[in-house]
Parts: sequence; C-alpha cells; structure tokens
Amino acid sequence: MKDHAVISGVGFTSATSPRRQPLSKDELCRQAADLALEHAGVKRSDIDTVIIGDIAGFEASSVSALTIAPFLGLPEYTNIIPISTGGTSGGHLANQAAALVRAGYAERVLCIAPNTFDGPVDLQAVINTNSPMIMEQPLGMGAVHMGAFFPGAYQQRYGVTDDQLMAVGAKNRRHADHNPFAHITSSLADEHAQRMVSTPLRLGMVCPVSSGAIALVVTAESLAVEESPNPLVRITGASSISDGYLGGKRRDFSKFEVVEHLARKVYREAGIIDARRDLDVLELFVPYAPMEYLLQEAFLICGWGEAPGLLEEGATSHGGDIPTNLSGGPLCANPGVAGQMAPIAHVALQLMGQSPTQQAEGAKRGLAHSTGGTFFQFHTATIMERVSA
Amino acid sequence: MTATDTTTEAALVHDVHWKIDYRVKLGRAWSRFMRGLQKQELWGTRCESCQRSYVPAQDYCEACYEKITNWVQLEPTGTLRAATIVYQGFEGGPEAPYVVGAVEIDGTHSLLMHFIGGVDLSDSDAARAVLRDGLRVRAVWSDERTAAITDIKHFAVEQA
Repeated sequence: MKDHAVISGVGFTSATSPRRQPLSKDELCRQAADLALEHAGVKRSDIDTVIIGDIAGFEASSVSALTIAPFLGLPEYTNIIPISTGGTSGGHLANQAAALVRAGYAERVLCIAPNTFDGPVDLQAVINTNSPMIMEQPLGMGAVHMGAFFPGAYQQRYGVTDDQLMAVGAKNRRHADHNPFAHITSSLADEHAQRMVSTPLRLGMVCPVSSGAIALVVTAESLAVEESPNPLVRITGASSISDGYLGGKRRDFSKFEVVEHLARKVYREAGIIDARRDLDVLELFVPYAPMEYLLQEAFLICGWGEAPGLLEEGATSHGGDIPTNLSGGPLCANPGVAGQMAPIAHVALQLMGQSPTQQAEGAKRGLAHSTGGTFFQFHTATIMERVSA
Repeated sequence: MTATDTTTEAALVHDVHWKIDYRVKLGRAWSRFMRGLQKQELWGTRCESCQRSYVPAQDYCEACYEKITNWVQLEPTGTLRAATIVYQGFEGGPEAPYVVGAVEIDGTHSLLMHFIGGVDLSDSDAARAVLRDGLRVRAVWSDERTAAITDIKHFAVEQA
C-alpha cells in the first residue's frame, strides 16, 4: 500500500534583520536542521533525502542548495534535491517531500528553507532583474511595485478604503506580538506605517527583509506512527499553479485568477468541500497586506469583495472561526525561502497543538500557501490534517 | 576594545560586486514587434482560430495553442486597467515618483505594461483619482528609438 506523508518535525531559528544576523547561511541552516531533527525524534543518519530551496539570481552564489548540503552532516548516500522556483521554492519543499514519500522514493526527508535576503544591498533592484527582461524589466518595477497593482484594482472594484487595506497589516502585527520568531510587531510606529511606497501600498502594508532559516522533517506515516513524539500531521493536499510570465497576462488585477483553480484542485485532493467550514487555520503568503483579502477570496473562504468584512467581524483574528496568519505572516518576518516555507511550518505546529504563536484551539485542518514570480506568477498550496486523536 | 570583546565581536561582512553582461535573443515575433516600435508602429497578432489578439505580438495562441501568422497594425491608444504611482523606487531604476500601468490596447485582449506620463503627481490623492480603470491613454514615442520597449516613452492621458 502507498504510504501517506506526515510532517514530523519543525525547526525555526529566530528571525532578525539581515544587518543584525551574525550567522552565515550554512550556520543558520545547520541550526534549523538540528532543531527539526530533534523535534521529530530522529537522527541525521535516518534521513535519506534532503531538499533545499533556492531563489535563482538573488544572491552572490549559484545553486546554494548544493553548497549548503555538505554542511548538514548527513550520510554520504543521502539524495540531494535542489528546488528553485523563485517565491514558491519554500512551498515546493514540503510538497515535493510528500510526493517522494507517497511515491515510495523516500522515507524521511529533510527540507531546508534557507535565508535568501541577507545578501542583496537593494532587494527591489535585484527583483527588478527577475522581471521579464526585454519587455518589462526596463519599466521600473520591483516586487513591491508589482504587488501594488492588485490592491489598486481591488479598491476600485469593491470600494475598499486605504484604512481597510492597512487593517490587515495591523491585525497581522498584533498576531506577531505572540510569535517569538517574528521580526516586526505592533511596535511599528504609525508615522512609519503611513509612508507611501507605491500606491496604494504604504510601509505598514509591506513586508520587511528578514534573516532566518527553517527546516522540516517529512516522514512516511507508517514510520512516524512508531517513532514520532508528536501528533501526526498528514499532508492531504499539495499542488501548484503558474500564470503567464508577462505581467500583462494578468487580465484582472482585482483577483488572483489562477489561485481559484489551484484551490479547487487542492481541495478536491484533500476532501475539502466548504473551505470556511472545513479549514481551521490559514497561513497565506502575504508580503503586501491587501493580498490577504484577494487570497482568502480566491481560496473560496468567502465571496469576491467580501474578505474585508471577515476581518472587521473578527473572523480572521485569533479566536475567530477562520484565523489567518496567526504567525503574522511575511509582513512580520520574510527571510526569503524560509519565509515561503514558514506557512507550512506554522500550520503543522498549530495542528500538533504546539504553536509557538497563539494556538487555534482544537485546530484539525489547515491551509498553507506560498507565491512568487513576476506579478505573483506562481502559487503553491498545502493542506494538512491532524490524523492522531 | 577590551579582551572580553573577542567573544562578542561583530561578524565580518565582505562586499561582493558582480558586473556581468549578457545577450538575450528576442526571437522572431518580438524582433518584428520591436522593429515596428522603431518605426512608430504598434503591431499585434491575432489568432485566426479563436480571434484572441496579443500585444506584445506572439506567434502562437496561448488559449488554443495554434500557430499565429496574422499580424495586425494597431492604433497606439488604449484604456488603463491598473496602475501604481511609485514613490520609492530602487537603485538603477527611474527617478521616483513615476507611474507604471497596464494598458488594454484598443481591439486587443491582453494588457501591455508601460509607464504612464502626463499626470501631475505632486498631489498623490488627486493623481490616484485620475489613474483609474477606464482612463483613455495614447502612446508617446521616444525621439531616439532603438527597437526596444522604451521606443514608447510612455502612455499619456488622452485629452478629451
């Protein structure tokens, strides 16, 4: 019989600003790996495959996955798999680990999500080089400027105010006050938060550049039943989708059209019928606050244009019925590939009942998402479910 | 520095600078599209099978995956669908503030990204009120053209 894949261990290093980070990438990744292996209750020699994430062209290195692997102290026959899909590398790490375990190729996979943003001196300038070179790169856009197109169109379509956009940032920073791995909290001064970066995005709606690493252990469920000290969190749905490469391929900037397709695909796989009723916790990759609304709508949590109402009634805060980004999300810590895998790590710990942030009591099923690429071309989704009593 | 500082010394950081030049081939469709811009002409392609049209021009249809050979010259006018006013740019980019937008060229189905010019940005709220979905714009050509996307200087608000 084919095995299921479960997340059996999670390791977070603390997050800080790249300027204050004293550790090198190798040192950080080793620390995260040690924490994840300890949490999973397995030894380095138990690992048969390591998957390491990368963002091509963002750092002064090439295929950093291969340069990190030798520092992890793994057995010499360990399979090493690099993944480089830009902003979705982190989401793909656990999804690929699950695919390898289900296929019978691997039994215990170590996923390493490194810090990616420690190197660039001006990250928006680096991201601009990632823009479609001939047609759009000369047009003066980094990620934040691409990210600004969507909320502008969303505001116009649904009559959403700037304050309603900022409310997502404020909510997520309140959540981050309880996350020991967050880098920005509600202590962010309002005068800074209000500074306009690219309309309608103000600084308080924009993620920081952070440093930190995260590791996961993904194990065949038949082994984890015997060896894991933690409640079993099964990956019940894992998928990804891509939109067109040019920004101009997004026909309607008021929604993430491809995410709705991704949602239907991954919900079918995981047996989710009514997303708001069946899911207990969401961690969505929201580097720009208003994206949380667009993603909740595309993931079918509510109707189009209705997400600001969910926030206002408290449904998406701790204690609400569909708490979203209890970690604070990327608005409170965005260390590159580690930031992209963080949603999976946080949902897994919520479902184990071991969240380092505010715990969603009794959470049984959760959704984690990551996104990246020019104008958010790529997205991943991961559905997890607690299968232990 | 005292002796105890040796254990808490700040980690060293070295500057690394890469200066690397590349050459990128545009392919047949984009070469023809760019040569059109150089002559102050905007060209798109239209799929004969499903009638979808593309700007920038491409030689296959993304919807039905048929090869496209039907080139159409377009009036360089269109409707703004989404835009942002950039107040914080980046090193090596244009000097802020500036506007980038997605323009639906008349008679086509795809959006062309470009600079939007001719809007007073000194009052951000007033500028945002102008730069809305539905704004009519027309291409302004650059004086020096090199068969590049910047042969269009920007799209300017069309005077009523």
